[in-house]
Parts: sequence; structure tokens; C-alpha cells
Amino acid sequence: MRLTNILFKQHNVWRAKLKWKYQSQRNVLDTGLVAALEKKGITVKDAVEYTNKMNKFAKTNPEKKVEPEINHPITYIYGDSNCLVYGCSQAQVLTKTLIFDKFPEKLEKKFASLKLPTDIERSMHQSVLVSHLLDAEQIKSPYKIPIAPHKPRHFLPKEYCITERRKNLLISTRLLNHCERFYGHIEAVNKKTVNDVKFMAPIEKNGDRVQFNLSAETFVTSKKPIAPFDGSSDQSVPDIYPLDQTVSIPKIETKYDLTSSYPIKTTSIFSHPHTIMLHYSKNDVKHLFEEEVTHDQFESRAILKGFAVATSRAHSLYGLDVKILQQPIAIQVVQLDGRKIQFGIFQLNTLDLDSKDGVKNFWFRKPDMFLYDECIYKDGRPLLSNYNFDIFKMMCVFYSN
Amino acid sequence: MSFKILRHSLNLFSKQLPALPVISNHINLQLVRALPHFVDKPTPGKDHKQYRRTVHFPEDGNYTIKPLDNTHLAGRDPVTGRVVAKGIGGGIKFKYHWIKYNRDGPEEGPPQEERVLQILKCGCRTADVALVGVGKELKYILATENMKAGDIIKTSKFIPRIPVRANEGDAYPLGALPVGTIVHNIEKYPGCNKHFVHAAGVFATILRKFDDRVVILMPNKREYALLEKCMATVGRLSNVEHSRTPIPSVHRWRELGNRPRSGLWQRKSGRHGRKIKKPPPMKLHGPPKQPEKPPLKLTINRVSKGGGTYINPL
Repeated sequence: MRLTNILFKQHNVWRAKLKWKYQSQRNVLDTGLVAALEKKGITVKDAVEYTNKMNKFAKTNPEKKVEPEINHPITYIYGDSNCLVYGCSQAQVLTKTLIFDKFPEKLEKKFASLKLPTDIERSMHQSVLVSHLLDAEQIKSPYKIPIAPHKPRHFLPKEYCITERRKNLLISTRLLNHCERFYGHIEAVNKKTVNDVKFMAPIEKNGDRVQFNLSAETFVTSKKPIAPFDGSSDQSVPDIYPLDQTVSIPKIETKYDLTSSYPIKTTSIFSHPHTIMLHYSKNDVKHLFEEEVTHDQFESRAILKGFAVATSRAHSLYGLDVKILQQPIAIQVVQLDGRKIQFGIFQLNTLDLDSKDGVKNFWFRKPDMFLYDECIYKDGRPLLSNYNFDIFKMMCVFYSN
Repeated sequence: MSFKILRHSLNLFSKQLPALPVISNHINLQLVRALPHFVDKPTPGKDHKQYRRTVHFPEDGNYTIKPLDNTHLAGRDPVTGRVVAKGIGGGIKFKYHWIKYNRDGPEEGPPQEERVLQILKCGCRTADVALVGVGKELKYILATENMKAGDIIKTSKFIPRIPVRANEGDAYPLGALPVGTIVHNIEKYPGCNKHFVHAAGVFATILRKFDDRVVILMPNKREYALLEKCMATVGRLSNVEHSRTPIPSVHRWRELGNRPRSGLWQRKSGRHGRKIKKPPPMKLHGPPKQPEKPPLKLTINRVSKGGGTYINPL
């Protein structure tokens, strides 16, 4: 019994079917009938519309309920994982700040004259090594390291290491602990530290609604506020034309009520903001277009977080509609990358951001400092090279301010 | 093997054999795959369509600068699933940067200014990509040869009486640019979403103008006469060395998504070797005159009285 048909060299059915394939597609020419009839006033309609209606069993899709469109105002929400594409200049325009490349004289003098005992410095040096290499946490690294520069798609097996979050946490807590050890009970009694606090600060500037929902990994509060600094200069806020102040901040078009929230009650003794310590990690803070974050963009994050803390504090003290502050609010900002540390002071002088002239806010900064050059296992031994003693010194100056 | 048993043949596989007189000496069984099944495969290269990848554009259709995921097609047509373009397959999956080819600008008044923020590489194309910001918007465009971060580029749709002295990266209508200008990313006709000249290091030259048309010399040495309102970007595309860099190994060839090709060279077939012939005459491009109506497709399937469908073998 033959299960298959005999294959002919010329298959009549296939030939007929191929002919039908081309003959079944007809280009319908316009005979001019429709135009001639419509000239006489006779409307011509497509019969297909009516045949579909005559079919009793044709499926009719129920009409979808169209909700009336309400145009909510656009809100720009800046969160922990966002980064401004134009860096410090954009942050300056958004918050109406001037940048000073040196700290106020009072702090610079303190830094120059401060001498720390060797045992505390040695302890801090050791704790950097411990937090980067000798800690017990071993989790697979999220980063893929290529085998060689010319082979970018071949990766080494992922190593087990301490997570960046833990490294930053250990460094920041150890810095504070060593400051407390050095200054003793007198200073420590006046301060309180809180971990993982959230600040919410809204601004409405030139028609744009911006909400800052930011968190500080360590927040140091004190009994007394930091004395405001004088900053007089001929500088003006830069012009970022043709870009707008809110470029690269994600926006939402749904309903959003701007909220302000300061995590500590104003009635508390320890409600004055003193220092915030921020963590940065390549994995957490990314651009939407997936390119590397530059130092300028890294610094802009510190400026905005300092601004958010100060603004939420001002709102909690003086209300949401405050424009001119009775007393400026100064906040010390320390941003850690594991190796790179950014020290800065944000001083909020005004919340009247719409006008270009008048009082402006200040951002005092130091050029970026590196904790060390290398902190790795070399030949099986932990190695920490070129440890920077100035960082702990700067931290002490900040702590005692 | 799957079988399709035609209605007029005996059903050998039923439990109760019908007591029918013998109609024919053989059973007319046909394998489904032996039935003629003609599939319309598209010709590769038509309408500049590529069969390397399908990009997963966002569902809401809104433009985004987020690099998009894609799936490899390996030379297959996504509609029919058949291989249409040979030699494509595998390779590194690069993310796709959605480029805004349409350079929108004001039709009167001063040109719109945009700032170039960063130049990046895109694995899905040979030319480099520039991240550009204007107002509240960030977008990607094709980067030109000497473009760098911080540059300001202009766009305008106004055609002045005296041609504009344009800089690299600026976008103006063809009628506004002087003869001899080097351009790329040229619109086929105003309002069309199709643009010419995108590859690394290529450019077109404006040769002459007549009536309301501008003649340009394309990289393939053909002359196209386009309407003067078509937008074009001034300059030569980036990554000029691309055509001069050889592919050093088979490994790299496969990483780029190309499958092995046969090295067969036939001496007398007439296929290999340089061809020297006169270029075709100047082509006038413009909007289609009438909207193309799709052809009417006739069928000869009919519904039987019993309620099933009878499929005529023709």
C-alpha cells in the first residue's frame, strides 16, 4: 500500500492552484460610475457594511466606556535613583544656588589647625580595611567584568564580595563613631543619629511642579542649628539654555498632590538638621539612557539632597507658603561612593525661586577626595595603599561644627 | 506524518469500515505537507526593510530614550516566518537607540537651538548616536563627523531668499542650503517618515536646483531630484573609518550577526568582478499621487448546507 501520492513532474492541480493565486488578486479599476452617480445626487455606499449588519450571528463588541479625560498638571518627581543630565549647572538653576569652591574661613582654619591623636587615626585606617575587605558578608557581585579590553563580551565568573551598600554603611558609621570617640561625651550628648530617613520637599518654580522624594542613609541631628555662613560674590546663577531646568527628571501626568515631610517633630529637642551622609552606588543610581554617571552629575545629587532636607525643615518650621526665611538653614552633606567622598555644605537662604535676582542659596564644596588608591587582595594579602588622612580630619571638622 | 483525508476517499482508519462498493483501486490519501501551499515571501532590500531584528517599541507608542530590547530574526520575515535574507543569524544582542530622524523646527523666525549632551555608540547601526537636549525633551539623533558634547545645533523649516551658511549638525530644508553642501538624513518628501543616507561616513551632495526641486548626488552615485521643502541635516556622518576597518577574524564576523558564507567563486558566470555602466537617469521623488488601494482578493471557498466548510483543492 502506497502511503504517499506519486509525485509527477507536472502536477496539474498545483499548476492550476498557482494560476489561481495570481488571478485571484484583482486590481479594481475606477470606472467613474460612483462619481457620475454622486453628481446626480445619488449616494453610493459599500454593500459590505450592510451585509455585516444583516448577519444575526455577527459578534458585536460592546462599546468601551471612555472615561472623560481630566488633564492633571504634570509633576516631576526626583527620587534616589535619578540623576540630572546637565549636572551641577542644572541643579543650580533648579535651586537658585551659587557654588563656592572653598569652605568658609572658619572651617578652613579649623581644618588646618586640627591635630588628631595617632591611635584614633590608626583605628580609622584599620576600619577602612575591615569594611572593604575583611567583613564577613560574601554576596555575588552584580557587575560583569570582561576578561580583556578587546573582548568586551566575554566575562570572568562573578566574584563574591562585600556589597556596596554594606561598604558605604560601614564607612559612614565608623567615621561617625571615631568622631564621637575623639570629641567625647561633650559633643555626643548634643547629637543624635538616625538611619534611612525620608525627606519630601515640593517646589513650584516657573510653572513647573517638582517633588523631591529623597532619603538620607544617615541623618545627624543636633540641639543647636549650624550657624549660617556669609557668602558674598559676583557670581550669578548659570544659564542652561537651550535646556530646561526639569530636563531628565521623570514626570507623571496623573493626579499627584505635592507633599512636604520632615522626619523629626519640630517640638523635639534634637530636631535641628546637622549632617546627612549619602550613599552612592553605580547599580542604584542610573541614567535612563544607561550611560556612566560623571562627577558633575554625582555632585548635583548631593546639592539636591541638601536642598530637599533644608526645604522640608523650612516647611515644617514656617509652613508650606514660606518664601523668605527668618534665618538661613545650613546642612552639611557627605556623599560616599566607597572610595570617593564629596564634602559639601548647603545653605538655604530663600525659597523665592521664581525671581532671578535677589538672595540666593549657597553650596560650599571641596574638590573630590579619595579615601585610598587601592584596597584589594594582592598576593593573597589585604592591601590598602595611599590612605587619605584628610578625610577623617574633615569629618571631625564637620562633626564639631 | 499528518494526513488530510479528502471527503471523497475511503476512511481506512475508522473502527467500522463502511460497506461501500469499491470506487477506486487506491486510497486517495495526501500528506498535509504535500498539499500545495504558496506563501508570499517578501524580497529582501525592498523599502529598505531589514531582517536582523525586531525592536520592542513601547506599547503606548511614546518616544523614549531608554535603550530598547530586541529579538533577533536571523533573516526571517516576521509575518511568514520564512528565511528571506541569507547569511544573517546569531551575534551579540545590542540594545536599540530609538532615533528621531524627523528634525522639527519653526517655519518662521529664528531657528530652534539644541544642545548636544553626549556621543554614544549604538550596536544596531554603524554611525554614532548623539544625545541631544532641547527644552524639557531629550532625544537621539545621528552624530556627524566633528560633533562633540556641548555643541549647539539649529533647526529651521524656513527657506530664505539667500541660502543659509549652515554648520555641521544643523537641519534646514534643501532649498535653504547652498549648492555644494554636504548633507545626510534627507527626507524623501515633506511629511514622509523615510529618510536617505544613514550609514557611517556617508554623505550626499547638493548638485543643482531647478523649479521647486533640488538635485542631490547620493552615495550610490545616483541623482535624486527632491522637493526643496525636504529637511536635510548638514555634514558627513560619524565613524568615517568604519568602511576602512577590516573585520579581523571569523569570530568577529559572527559577533556582528553574520553567518558563514560560501567562498565559491565562479570564473565565467558573469556574477563576480567590477561592473562599469552608465548611472541611471535622475529620479524624481515625491509624495504618491493616489493612495494605493489594496487589490481585491477573491476566494472560491463556499459554505455547505450542512454547516461545514468545503475546501476545494483548487
